[in-house]
Amino acid sequence: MNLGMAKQKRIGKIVYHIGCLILAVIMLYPLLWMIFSSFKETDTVLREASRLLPSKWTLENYVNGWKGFSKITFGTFFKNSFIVASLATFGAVFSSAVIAFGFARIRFPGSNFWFACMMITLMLPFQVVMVPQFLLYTRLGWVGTFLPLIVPYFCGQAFFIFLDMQFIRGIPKDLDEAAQIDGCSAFGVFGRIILPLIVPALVTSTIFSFIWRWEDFMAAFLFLNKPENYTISLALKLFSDPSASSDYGAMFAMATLSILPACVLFIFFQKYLVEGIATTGLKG
Amino acid sequence: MKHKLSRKWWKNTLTGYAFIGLFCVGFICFTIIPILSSLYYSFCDYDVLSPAKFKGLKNYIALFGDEQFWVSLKATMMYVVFSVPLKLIFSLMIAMLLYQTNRMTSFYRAAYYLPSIVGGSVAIAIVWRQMFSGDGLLNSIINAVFGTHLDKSWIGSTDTAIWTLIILSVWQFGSSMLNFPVRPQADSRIAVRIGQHRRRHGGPPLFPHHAADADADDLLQSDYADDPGPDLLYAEPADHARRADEHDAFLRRVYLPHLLQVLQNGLRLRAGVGAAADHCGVHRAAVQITGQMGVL
Repeated sequence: MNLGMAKQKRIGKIVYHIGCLILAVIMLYPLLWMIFSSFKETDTVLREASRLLPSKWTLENYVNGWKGFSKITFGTFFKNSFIVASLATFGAVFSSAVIAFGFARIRFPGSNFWFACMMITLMLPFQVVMVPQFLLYTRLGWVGTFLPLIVPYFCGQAFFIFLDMQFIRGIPKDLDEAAQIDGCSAFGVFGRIILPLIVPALVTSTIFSFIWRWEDFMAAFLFLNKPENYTISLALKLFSDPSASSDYGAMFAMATLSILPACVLFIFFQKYLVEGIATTGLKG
Repeated sequence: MKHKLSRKWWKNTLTGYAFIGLFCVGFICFTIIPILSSLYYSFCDYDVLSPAKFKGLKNYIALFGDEQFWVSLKATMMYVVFSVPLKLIFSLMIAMLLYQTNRMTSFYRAAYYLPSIVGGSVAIAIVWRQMFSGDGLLNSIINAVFGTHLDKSWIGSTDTAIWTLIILSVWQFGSSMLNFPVRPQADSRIAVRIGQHRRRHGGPPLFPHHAADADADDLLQSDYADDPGPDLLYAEPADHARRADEHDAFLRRVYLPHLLQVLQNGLRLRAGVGAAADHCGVHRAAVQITGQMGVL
């Protein structure tokens, strides 16, 4: 009886793992297909579409793809993306923490109104404001520079403000009060007490923000106009233009490189992300 | 006395705005002004280059009379109605699948979550277009398996294109489940702890269903059992209530924003049509619906 049950359990486990593995393969297949296609000879990419592994491995696509177009290599595009993504991320994460503290800890006239405004922007899609924003940036002379892709993020991003607020609300107010009795100003409480305690939320925000800004296409598409300023998303789009040459191998090679930073961040921080969020509860 | 109170009031107000001031500036400059100007221009004849001329409701009349607008509205509705629930159902299924943790769980979670990390990028749009094109991956697989000679472009025909986008959205379900899988870990640690507590002190299980479910071998082999926070493993019974509270707090803190994000994804499309209607009768709805792929 006992043995039979153990056996049944074992079979159940095997079925479970096979099911999970099949699902994992289905989920990863498009990505694997892209990666392996980038190692196929470029004229065989489509002919061998149903095969995952290349019949002949080559690195030529990476060499050809990296050359980019009109004498601008993908190095420039990567550099641009990196500048935009890191500055915008720094702005978004830092300002969101400051703003979240204001909402979560200070009661002042108008705070509810502004909080409602913040919730509205959380729901507001970029598409609603993109055209009028374009007009605004044109008037300011920002179009064609990185400014429209960076400056708005220094005013906080609703999603991160909300995330930080939820964390701050989990920290007992006694800590603030103790600090205030010891002579801390509101800024001191923020800098010395709250900021160190919401580091996990900040890390989460940083990773998300960086990945989102890295892949951002719409804003870059609207606000950048010179190829030497293009971010990686825009450069990829040019690559896949039907009017441009269809070097599928090179296209997949650069597409693979472009998702590399996001994958690396995810793989290295996955555990820290999850752990960080799960164990934020105050000890003791 | 009154003077003192009002000074305090002023100080409080100033401090508050010192913290959220950046947001107020950003909200006015980058959200309110664009939206209001958009609303104003929607009543104007305006081509960006020459000055706007007021012409009343004519843009709206032209928009509502345009067949393309209704077609795109229908397509958007269809996309939202199918993709949002499918995405949620799929993520809930995965979350249940990963409820019991074991050695492989972190691998599975990574595999299922990865698409949503890279999914927004142009790279994926390119892959998707290739996969569902006439000579793409899907047809190659179907032809290889069934010996057919299919060359239908799934992404190019009007009846199936929307489904390739719905599949894309479901494939990126990870963002809506990011925090589902955290629960079982937290729970399994509680379960291990309860198991040990029970062995050491006797007494009834504190969370009966968890204790019964917990396969001690599995749990001890899981990567979390190797490195349990000391206070987690040897917590005293009084702590369980606190843990449960923390767990609730966790759900509130992290889960709620994510639900909002899912909601936002659904709303984004709906509002995309709104933006199209806004902008001087320019019919951008089609672009909104297909998003990046339409642009590509």
